[in-house]
Amino acid sequence: MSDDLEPPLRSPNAVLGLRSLVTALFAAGALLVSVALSVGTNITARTYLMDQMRAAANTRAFSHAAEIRSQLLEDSETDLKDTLSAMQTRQGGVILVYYEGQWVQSSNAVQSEVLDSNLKEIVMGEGVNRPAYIWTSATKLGDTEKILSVVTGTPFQLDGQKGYFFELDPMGELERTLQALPVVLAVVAALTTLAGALVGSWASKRVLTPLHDVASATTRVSEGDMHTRLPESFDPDLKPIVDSFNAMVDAIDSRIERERRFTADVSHELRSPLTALTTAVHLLQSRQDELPERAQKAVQLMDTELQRFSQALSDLLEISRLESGTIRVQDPVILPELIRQTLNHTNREPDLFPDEDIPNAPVERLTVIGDKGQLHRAVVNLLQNADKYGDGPKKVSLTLSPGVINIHVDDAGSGVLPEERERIFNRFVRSGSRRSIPGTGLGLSLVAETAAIHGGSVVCTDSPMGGARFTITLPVAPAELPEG
Amino acid sequence: MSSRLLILEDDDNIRAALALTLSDEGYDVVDAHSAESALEILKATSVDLMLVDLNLGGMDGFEFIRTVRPHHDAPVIVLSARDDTHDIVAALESGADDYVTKPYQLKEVTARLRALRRRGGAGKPGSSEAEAAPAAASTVSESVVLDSNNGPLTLAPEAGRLSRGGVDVHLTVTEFRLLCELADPPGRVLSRQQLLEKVWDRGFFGDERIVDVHIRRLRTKIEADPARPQLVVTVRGLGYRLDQQ
Repeated sequence: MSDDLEPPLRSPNAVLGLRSLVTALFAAGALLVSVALSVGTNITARTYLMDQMRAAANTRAFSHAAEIRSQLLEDSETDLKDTLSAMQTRQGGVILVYYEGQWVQSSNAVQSEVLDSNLKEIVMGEGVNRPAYIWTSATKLGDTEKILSVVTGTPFQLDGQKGYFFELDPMGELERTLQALPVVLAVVAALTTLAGALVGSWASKRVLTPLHDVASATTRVSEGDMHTRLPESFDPDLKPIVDSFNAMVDAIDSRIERERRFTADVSHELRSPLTALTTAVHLLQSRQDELPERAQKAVQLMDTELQRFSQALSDLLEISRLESGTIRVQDPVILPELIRQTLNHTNREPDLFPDEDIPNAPVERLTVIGDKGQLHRAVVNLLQNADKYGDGPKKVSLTLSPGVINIHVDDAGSGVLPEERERIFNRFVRSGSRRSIPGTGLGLSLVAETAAIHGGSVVCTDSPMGGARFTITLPVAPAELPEG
Repeated sequence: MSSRLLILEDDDNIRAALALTLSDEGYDVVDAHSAESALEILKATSVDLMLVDLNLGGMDGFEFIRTVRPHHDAPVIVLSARDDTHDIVAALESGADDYVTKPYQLKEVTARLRALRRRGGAGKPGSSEAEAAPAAASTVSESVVLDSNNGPLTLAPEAGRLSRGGVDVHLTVTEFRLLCELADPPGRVLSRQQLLEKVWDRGFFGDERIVDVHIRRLRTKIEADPARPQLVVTVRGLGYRLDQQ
């Protein structure tokens, strides 16, 4: 990949995954809304409750004041103190009356000094003289606890005599309620935030599920499964994605199919003339003795070039077969036997594969699952590669590593430069200085493709014998052999 | 007497080159450019071997093999430009005995022809060749009763006959050779590799599917229920065995 195709560096806030981001946004939204609601609720509830309690306290105080006034009317000698004590006040409530120049109060829990001077001014002041109330934090005598209370004051008149009535209503319950309210609301806000996060997480998961489907479908396609399609969607938001994904796979599929057919067509077109040519040249060769010497040389030349042509064509066909995925990788192949047979088949010395280079292991450990013909071709290609570039193969050996078995082909040539060692497995790459050597440049790439379809790989390293070492690594067959 | 070889190939140049070369190798070659004309030839003359291209104008190679198989037991070698696994298996299932894919080396074709001609000669004394008998003749020379039920099914290797209750069972030359190998003696397990070598003269790298397809075809002809074979049984992981019933 060239540098300009590199994806741009991700900004730091993109590090947060899409899902986490959506979850966080949902949580933040829920927090914001619930805090606003809580604050609003708190203020409204507080105002309303206090208003209600105050109105009740006022009403109670006025009726108490009226009662006292009517009692005093009936009997001016009434013992004010007893009357006040007998009155039903709220618990802890105290009534204070200023009449005939003195303070009388229902209990001694408080002093008249607790009364707020502003309140007194409004109720008892010469100029104003009207009912009023005040919220205060009264302290009972001998007690340090301050209790929120409402003090209601009202003047009254009795035969020209002025009296002043005050009632202190402690609102302990209300105070506790008002203290508890913000706590409850805060808890509710926290729970709402949590719920928002959960909803966000669920929603993003729900939204991302189709994306995961796309991702796994893409993976399957890239692994070569061209039958992968996303199930049709009727969701208007998903339909464009699903449709364009499926259209894309269709396009890739038909393109691959076109290319495959093209290769097949071209090779078929080439095969027929090549077949006729090789057959005819074979006839010429078998009648060589009847030809003049110069013609014999020409036939020899034709034969060599035709073989090279044939080799290139069958390599190309082989590559397109490997790519089309029609090779059966399913038969148990015992590698020592495969190598011996390959050496025998290609008329090479059996000593190339000495017995002491076969690991001392049970035969199952030396068996791979694969296609015998393909593996044979891969080994042949490595041997031919050694012929062409490495002064001939020097040794073939097997080694075991955990779970895999390695086939090494060593030569004693000049080796392969480190920077060339990956490139030589590409198609049509041939070692730079040796253009004159016959070869198609496909041999090693076929080895690489073959190793790959067997779940293995091939690498080029230095041989302990001085030249290059090519190693095919294949996974060992599972213990239970399938039916052969 | 040389073997008569039918070459069915629609590419004129390939057909001409094959005819030239193979008659040079000593075959009595007749050639046809279409399946239809090949069928005409077969009406007039008998052949010992057939080389058949799969890709033909008109009737294709598969269809041709299916048409001639009931009447001709001569080995058929398919010449295929298709190396698709499916095509090869389909050709074998149509009744072909072996295959060579293009581009081929001529020595590959002659090797296949030699293997099947030799084997064919051994199984059928009527068409025997001088070179045939010693190489491949089965050591089973007396008749063997393979299946005493519904029959009996009797194999007479020397006479080249298989009969059930006195009626001939029609086998191709190659199927007959395969059965003889399995019956020599019965009850012995033969691997696919061994069968490939003995019947097709193919080495380690031969295609084992050839054996499987022939075994399947053989079963349809001799088994009471080919889906549950009693005579030619598969030995998991090892090969095939003929069990006398």
